[in-house]
Amino acid sequence: MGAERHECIGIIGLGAMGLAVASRMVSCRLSVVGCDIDASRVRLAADLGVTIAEHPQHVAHLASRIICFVDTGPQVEDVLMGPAGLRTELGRGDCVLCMSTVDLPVIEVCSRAIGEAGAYFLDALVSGAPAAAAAGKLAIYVGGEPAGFQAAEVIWKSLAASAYHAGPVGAGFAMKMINNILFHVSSVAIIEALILGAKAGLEPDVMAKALTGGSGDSVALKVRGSRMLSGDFAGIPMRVAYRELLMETDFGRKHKSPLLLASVAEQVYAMGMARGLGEEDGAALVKVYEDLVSVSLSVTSWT
Amino acid sequence: MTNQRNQTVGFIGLGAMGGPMAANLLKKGHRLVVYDLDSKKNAHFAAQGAEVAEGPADVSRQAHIVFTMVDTTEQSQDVIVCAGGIVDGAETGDAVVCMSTIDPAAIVRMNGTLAAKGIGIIDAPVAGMIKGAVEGTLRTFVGGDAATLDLCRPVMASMCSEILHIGAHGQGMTMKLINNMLYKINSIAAIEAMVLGVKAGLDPKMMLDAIGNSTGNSPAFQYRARRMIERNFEGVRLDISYKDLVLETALGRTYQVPLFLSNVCLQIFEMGRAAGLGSRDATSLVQIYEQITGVKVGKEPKGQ
Repeated sequence: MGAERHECIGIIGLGAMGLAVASRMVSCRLSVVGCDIDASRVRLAADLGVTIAEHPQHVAHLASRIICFVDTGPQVEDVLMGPAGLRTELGRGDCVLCMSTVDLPVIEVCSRAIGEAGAYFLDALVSGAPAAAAAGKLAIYVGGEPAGFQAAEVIWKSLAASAYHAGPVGAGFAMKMINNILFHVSSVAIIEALILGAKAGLEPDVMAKALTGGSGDSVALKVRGSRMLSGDFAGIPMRVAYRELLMETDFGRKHKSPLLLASVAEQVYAMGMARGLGEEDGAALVKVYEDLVSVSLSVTSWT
Repeated sequence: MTNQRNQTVGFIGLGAMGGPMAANLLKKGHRLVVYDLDSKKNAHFAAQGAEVAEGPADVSRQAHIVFTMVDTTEQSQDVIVCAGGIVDGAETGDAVVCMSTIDPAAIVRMNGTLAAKGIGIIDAPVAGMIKGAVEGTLRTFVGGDAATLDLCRPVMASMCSEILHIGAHGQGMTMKLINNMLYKINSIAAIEAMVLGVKAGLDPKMMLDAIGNSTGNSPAFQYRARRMIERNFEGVRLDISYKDLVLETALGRTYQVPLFLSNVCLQIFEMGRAAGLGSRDATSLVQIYEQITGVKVGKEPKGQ
């Protein structure tokens, strides 16, 4: 391979988002080193031209700037500080980015551990689907030291339509919560509004057209509404959105800031989870209302 | 005289929205007859070259097409179908365009009354707020028959840049209520999100930029967040938005559709009315959250 450590970008966790990030970086002609516990994901990454490492420690041996994109808080802690964790390979000026949406205490623990090793830790939370990652069009919210934000510039340039330095460690997480509250509340609002319209005799595609560009419009309508009309529910699993909603309402409690709407939205998502929709895209929440109200938003069902 | 009547447009209700909409009719060269309960507003239009009528029936005696832009369902029924209303002065073949956002069922009822006399009515509530009214760039959702819409369309085009025919009588109103429901829920979400962000130490201007590029964005967020930061609480009266919320939640009950979020929104607007914010823009609801949480989104301008 031959690329110097300081030129390499490491990616730990090659799931839907991690792999999309890797493919974008390869297409930007960056040298990428990756690892995943799932051999099938590793093969997909190797096919893209990603150098495969055995474990996180090995990734940090080969790369100085490392993205962690695993699922849960315990996984993040294991990747950074576990037996084969990357911490022991870090040197001064290296950079570790946590892109997983994990809870604040995890971010704080990891930030301390990486800081003690002399490297920068950034909570760099992303907004956007795998398609946006693969196209380099993510929004990225970053918390951490300004020098760390600068050290990771090549990453923002390849992945983001916009990257915001939101403040110290934890601010990237806070910004992501604020954005998600808006998206998740809007998503439930869209379902209730479109279902009511359909029940009152309006055609879903007429509503979608009438709402687009007007005061009732939103990114959520574009992203979720189109899935509701087409019945395409293969996207980001609802369990992911539900877990994020729990973090959002926790965040409100932590700061003693009332979140009437997000709390109700959380309960609506709980109905979707109870109905067994956890593996379908969040847009599938519409099925709860469709069943209750006995109408369908699916355009193919309209004659 | 008859020919002049065919060329004359009537406008009833010259408030924050109706005023600039009627002004655009004058600007585009229509012969205009107006009426408002407030004689000052009438005098303003008389000075601009409009005829001032003695009441709704007198407007329709002089005009072939009459627009109404009053506050409530009751007021709309008063000026259109009650004694002394448009119905008393109108002739067969005339048309009424109801542009206020009101109960869809009221449109269906009024159409019954008017159709018996050969008078057409369409519901054409508008979106685009005061800015759109001033600039003549409103969007309108139309319910009713295509023939009446075709008759009115050339005049409506002086006020609206987009005219969407949604469906039968009342369905323009239903579409508007659905749109407004999303707008208001997104507005309250914007308030809660901005207050939480500020409480957690984020800079409000940074949030406006960061969300503007992301999945949390909406026209409601852009409008509300900007105004919260600028402390600009003048605009559409909260009481008017509250009236729409009452109609929206009632529509949910009519069709037995659960509306968790709209009903919570209604309660938040209720808090605003209780706090005396009824004649401010709904963005002022942020003050309730600020009072409760002890933070402020944006700074008060000097001298306040």
